[in-house]
Amino acid sequence: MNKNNFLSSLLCLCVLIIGLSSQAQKPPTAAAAPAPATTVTPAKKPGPAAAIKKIKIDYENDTVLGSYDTPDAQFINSRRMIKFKELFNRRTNFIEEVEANKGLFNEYQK
Amino acid sequence: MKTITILFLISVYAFTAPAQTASLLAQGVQFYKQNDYANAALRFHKAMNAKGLTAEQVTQANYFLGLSLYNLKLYQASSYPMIKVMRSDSKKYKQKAMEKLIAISNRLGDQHILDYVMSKMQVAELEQLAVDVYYYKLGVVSYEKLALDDSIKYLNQSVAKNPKNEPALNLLGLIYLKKSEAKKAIETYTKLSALYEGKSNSNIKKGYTTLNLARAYYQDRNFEEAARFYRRISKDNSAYRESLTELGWTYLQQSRVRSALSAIQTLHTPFYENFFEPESLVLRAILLNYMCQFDEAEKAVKSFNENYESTLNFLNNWTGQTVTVAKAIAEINYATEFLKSENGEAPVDMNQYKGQIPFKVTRSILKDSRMKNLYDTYILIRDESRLAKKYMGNSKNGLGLFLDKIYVGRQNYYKSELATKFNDVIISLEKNITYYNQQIKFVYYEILEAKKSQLRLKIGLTSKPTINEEQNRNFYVKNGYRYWPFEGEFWLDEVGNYQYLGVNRCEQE
Repeated sequence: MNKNNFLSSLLCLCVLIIGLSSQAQKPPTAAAAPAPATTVTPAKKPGPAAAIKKIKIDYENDTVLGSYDTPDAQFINSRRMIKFKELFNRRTNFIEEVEANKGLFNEYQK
Repeated sequence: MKTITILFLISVYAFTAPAQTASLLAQGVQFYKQNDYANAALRFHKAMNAKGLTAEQVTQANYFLGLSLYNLKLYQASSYPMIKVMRSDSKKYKQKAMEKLIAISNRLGDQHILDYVMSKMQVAELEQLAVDVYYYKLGVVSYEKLALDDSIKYLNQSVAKNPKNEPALNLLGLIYLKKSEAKKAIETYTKLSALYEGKSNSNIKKGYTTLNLARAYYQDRNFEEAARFYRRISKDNSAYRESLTELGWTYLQQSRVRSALSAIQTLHTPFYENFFEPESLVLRAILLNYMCQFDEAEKAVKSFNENYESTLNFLNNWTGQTVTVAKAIAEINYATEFLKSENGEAPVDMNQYKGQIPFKVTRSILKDSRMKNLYDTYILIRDESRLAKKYMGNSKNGLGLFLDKIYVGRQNYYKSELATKFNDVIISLEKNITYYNQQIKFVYYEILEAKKSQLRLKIGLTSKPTINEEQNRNFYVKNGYRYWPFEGEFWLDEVGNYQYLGVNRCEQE
């Protein structure tokens, strides 16, 4: 009886040691790895903060304020544009569009 | 003996019926105080139809039935007993019912209820009740009769009583635009805009007020300010997409061709491919033709033909047939379901779309405020109808039948109205596309003509560059990548951050 108990305890100990050692060798699972924040990866990092600031100012001046685009003085009265005068005259105002969204403001507020 | 028994029973009923009805009222009030509005509504409805009540008690039962239904969020149903109270002579409940009806009209976005209340109001009742709403309604009536000066007078009175009256301020701005008094429109929209300060940038009213303010500056030919306000509209606001074509027109008026093309370019990206944008394609083709960028101009023409010639055929077919209410509602439902899945996470497969009219057209129709208001009210009423069924279950008691009758009737009314409006908007879109279809054909002819004359001029000359290479463009990596200004990084396509770099390639004629 005692011999049987001893053998079964030994067996349990062996199983425990094998189990623990195999767990310790396992690499982290894919599920445990942090998910990427976004699927789009930046093509290039611009480098130091000063460079970022410079690019940002360039960008805002060019795109947001449109300084890259010098007004073309001849444009509206050019021979090619005169032909589309009728279309351009349709767009001296956006009253139709304002009227179409009039209903959005119907909700009464006191 | 038999006669005596009948007489006895009648007399017992005559004595006990009023007491039973009064007890029903008392029970109803008890349930109402305990916030058990469903049971309260059942009692009040029963009491309302019972005999032996005084006129004041009937009004009381109606008023509390209306309140109970209102608290159950069955706003449409609650308007019916409230209207009965409003028609009564009760000094105690009549005014309260009017106030509740204004609230119901507001909840449902149903102008008819408000119109009805206003038509029944007496001048003496105005001081206590919403005077500003009354003047606003007078302003609307005058506006519809094209009496714009009268309308301005009433709307100003309304705003003086309640400076937060948004519909009055918005209508006032619109009337000033119609009267070509753009400066006053700017002033009005600036006041309206101040009401939304501190609200989220995605707030629809905030977005559209900024848009209207930009439009007022545009009409005033102050294009610098117009562009500033157009650019203020947040990209996650539903007014943003509309602002892009108009921003393009603003730059065009300033003769800033490349900036105009930059603004329009966002509309022709995959992000907006399922939107109705014929005008911007025509404009793009015209501008590119002006710059002698013929290949790109032809691409814009091709894109128009691929997208809108077939659309025009669909619309012609639709307007050429007899359209039933069910058919129009089915189109609305297909588009609504598709919009829901588009807003969800799963990618949308356009091949799955079952509507007869292209999705991009139906979504534009649904966005039109005439349709949108009706549709929103219809959805509210449909949801209320479902809620009423949930409260009443399968029981066919008096209140259940009363609610059924109301909701079936109102849903049918709104379906029919929606179908009529839907067809009206389709007809106006058909005219719109027909006009732009003619314009794009004209543009194409002009492109071919310009190409020929430019070829003649270019014989023997060296070719001009297509883009401006001298300017420092260090934030451009390569085609398809754009600068993302927030973290100083370069990302793939970014809506709203396009910058057109093409130059004018024309030889002097």
